[in-house]
Amino acid sequence: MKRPDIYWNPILETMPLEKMRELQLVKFKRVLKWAYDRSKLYRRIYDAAGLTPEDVKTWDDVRKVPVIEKENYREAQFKEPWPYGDSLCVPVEEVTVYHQTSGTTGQPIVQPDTWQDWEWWAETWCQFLWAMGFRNTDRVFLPFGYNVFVAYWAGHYATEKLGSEVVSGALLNTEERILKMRELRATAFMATPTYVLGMADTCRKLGMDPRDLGIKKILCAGEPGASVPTTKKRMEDAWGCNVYDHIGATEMGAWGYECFYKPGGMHVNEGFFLAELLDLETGEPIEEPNKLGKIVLTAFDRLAQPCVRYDTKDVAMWSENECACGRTHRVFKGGIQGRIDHITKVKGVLFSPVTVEEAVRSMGQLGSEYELIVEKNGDVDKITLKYELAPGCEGKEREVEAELATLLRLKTNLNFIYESHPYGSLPRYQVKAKRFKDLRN
Amino acid sequence: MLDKTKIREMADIIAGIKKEAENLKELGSACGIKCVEMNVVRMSAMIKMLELNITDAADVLEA
Repeated sequence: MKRPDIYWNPILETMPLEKMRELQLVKFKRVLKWAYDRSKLYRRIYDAAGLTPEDVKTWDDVRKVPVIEKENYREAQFKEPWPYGDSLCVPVEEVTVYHQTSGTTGQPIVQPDTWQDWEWWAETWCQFLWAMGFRNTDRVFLPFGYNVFVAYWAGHYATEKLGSEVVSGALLNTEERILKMRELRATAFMATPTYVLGMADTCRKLGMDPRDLGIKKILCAGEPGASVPTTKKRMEDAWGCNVYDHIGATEMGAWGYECFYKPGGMHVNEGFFLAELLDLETGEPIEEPNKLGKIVLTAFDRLAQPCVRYDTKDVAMWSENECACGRTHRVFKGGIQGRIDHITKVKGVLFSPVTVEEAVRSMGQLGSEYELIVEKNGDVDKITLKYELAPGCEGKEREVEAELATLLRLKTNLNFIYESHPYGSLPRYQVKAKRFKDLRN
Repeated sequence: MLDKTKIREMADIIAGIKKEAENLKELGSACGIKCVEMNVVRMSAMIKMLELNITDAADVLEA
């Protein structure tokens, strides 16, 4: 075992796999009963499937529990008790905080949390902040517009709970945030990969090298970028520090993380979450490494609006390697590989937009921003990549496009149309970037 | 893996704290002292995190 101080809770983080499975089964049965007894939504779904919590005794029984989706929440919400409706499991008076999803895929999901749930958010964040090396010696800057999205709210409270010092940059603009980070000698910050790169750009416009700010670590969320090797490298090179990824969502909690040892993917926080990987076609569980499946997730300990066997729409594969950190928490190789609703057929070929990000950000002549548009040209699909040349590379469109064409042909088996745009002209995002637009329907 | 008896010892202490917190909340409510009740609500959330981290694990490790 490694030094015990690298773990937030060595009991759960190094628990032998068979004991962890035992614990997870106990906790699964507990949350299933909670949801069935308290939520009209879950009871309706389970009754329709002819299932009661008492029917679930083994892992095979777990697989029989219906998988729920965002749409189930949507149908149950915006009814009394307002706005949570049938998904609420506690008296509405016990709800102490409201958040909602960003609505990227439709009507936002509303998320109630009790005080205990909120403590749970902070606890699950503490586990991975600690794993990434955050300590009470850190001054953590949050360049985040605090609002209805859970995003870095949980990061804020977890940072406090961990004993680090938290500085909110909520209403400051990007330049002011950078100046405040420099003034206070912040040691870490948290942002989306897009914003991390955007801040580095702004830094340079201010005449500063981001590496001189003394940032030691950056935690990313909201987009898969920090698990895309070329994007991670861009961020680490720009800031001269370690960049860590984590994954979570409003309705699930923060369930996956990269530790200090960077295992080439993300651990699952298995003491608090069950991540099942299911075959994309058959729905059968996948235990072996290197096989893509979709993640179905259960948060074991959430009260107000539980999350039991929730279809995340995220696609991933187990890693064959154990992490050098000594944690027994399994690893999703390369993090999230894409989303089922983003993986689409273009000209009859399966296409994942993340492969384009990998290519664009592997080329030094290109800026970090790009946009990808799929549309119909008659009956034929047309895919256009809008890119920006990096400052100093103006006039190199032909050679850049030739290089891109070779790279992307290799990665996607597709031919793209290329459009060069002046540096700084494509949209910049602070939260979830929307770079992929499928206009065919 | 850590010593099971130490984990059980921690779990027992957590159970004791939980019981004391519940007693305190009841007493505060009976006396109409809102601040006692609401501070215990927050305290109980933290105690629950200790249960999730320690007590649940202790039960499984002893099984």
